[in-house]
Amino acid sequence: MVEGAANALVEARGLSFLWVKTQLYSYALHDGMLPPSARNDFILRGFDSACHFLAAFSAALSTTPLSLLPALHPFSAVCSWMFVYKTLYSRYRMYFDISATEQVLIDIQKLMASKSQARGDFCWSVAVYMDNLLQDARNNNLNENPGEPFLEVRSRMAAGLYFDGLNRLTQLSTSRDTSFSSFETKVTFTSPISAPLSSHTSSPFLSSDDLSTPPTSQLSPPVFAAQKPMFTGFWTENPMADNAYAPDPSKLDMEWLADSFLTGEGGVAPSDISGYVAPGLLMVQ
Amino acid sequence: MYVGVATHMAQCLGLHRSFLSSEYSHNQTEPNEGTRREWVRTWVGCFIVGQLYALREVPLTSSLSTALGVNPIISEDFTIQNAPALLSPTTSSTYDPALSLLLDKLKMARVGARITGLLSSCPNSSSGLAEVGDNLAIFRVLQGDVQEVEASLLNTDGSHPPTHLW
Repeated sequence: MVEGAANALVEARGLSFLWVKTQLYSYALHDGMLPPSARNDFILRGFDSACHFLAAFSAALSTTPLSLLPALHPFSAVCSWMFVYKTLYSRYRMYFDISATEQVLIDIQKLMASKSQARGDFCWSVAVYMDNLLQDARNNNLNENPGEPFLEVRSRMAAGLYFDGLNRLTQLSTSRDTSFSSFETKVTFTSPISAPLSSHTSSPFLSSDDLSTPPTSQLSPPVFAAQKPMFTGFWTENPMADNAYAPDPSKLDMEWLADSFLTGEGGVAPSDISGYVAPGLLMVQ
Repeated sequence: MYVGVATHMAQCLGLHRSFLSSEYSHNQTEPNEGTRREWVRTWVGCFIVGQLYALREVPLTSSLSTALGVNPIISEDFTIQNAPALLSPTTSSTYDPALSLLLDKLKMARVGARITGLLSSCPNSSSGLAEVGDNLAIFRVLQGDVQEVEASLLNTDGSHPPTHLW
């Protein structure tokens, strides 16, 4: 038990660092904070950090004892970073594997639901509002924008996830229904972590050249269980949806990519390129 | 909320001025080295929790930009800046994983406090965000701080166990 708790704390150390790192780069998202020429570089670095934060958080959720879940970085942090993803996707959608991100949300929702041991505990509340939001996104897409790309709905879901979730929690906590009036953290000791996460398989820090810019070969996207995505129409147009990184980076037109950055948002579409690009490829000092 | 209460209690007890404890404590006695070390450790803990975990207490009405940059409850002081020296054991060289974790968290919290302080505490803007100008230089400096912490977390010179960050 002690070893398992220690491992969880070590994992939380990695999350803490990623959170600080992404927090810095998030400021680049604000208009007027940086000159456009420098802004892109920092935004891409933020995307890189956010990717790892989300992957690490998802992995930590699956291995952390229930008693330590509330001690992890707040779930709202993950939801907040959905906003970052949304912004990045609207500007640099070629980098964004939307299905993988969506799958992260679904997986987390299922995991939290499975770990809930009592109505009203931490996992229960997270699972409930995540499920409601995912359902809303599905319904909106079907009812309001049939046949349209899901980007708008998905963006709304991503940006609203954080606030809607909190609002929903507030509504439930202030409801006259007594069954919803209690939100407590259930402290239950479960079995220790069976296998600590290894830093040697996914850590971007293995590069000695640039610690903050992992090489593509060592930067693996999070692995998600196979499941039918909610919005299949859009991504069936793109055969590379299963791989967030370019299989052959040498074929990428870097000059064209640089120009696309300078043209501002909306200048890049998934159909413009044949595959995705690892963010690290463009982080040229 | 609890972070604020704990921090205020710590200040009333003089944990942030461990070398002037007689000015704060009721018993007017100087603590021994072990007690002083615990006081420093507790004060560092207040700083870390207040900075790294302040987001748990973000009001529902706050904006996302606020959520991404909550000002730290505690400003850096002598104890925070010199915590590694104050907490390092003088007699034993045994590796203390808990102390190592605490100091690593402190590094992150200090960088986080600098980020928030430099980029989102501008008194001249309603949002608090720094206005366009010399921000690029600030970003570069902060990025250097982040990379420095990153490198220190990967200390693999044999004195510490390998750090598993993921």
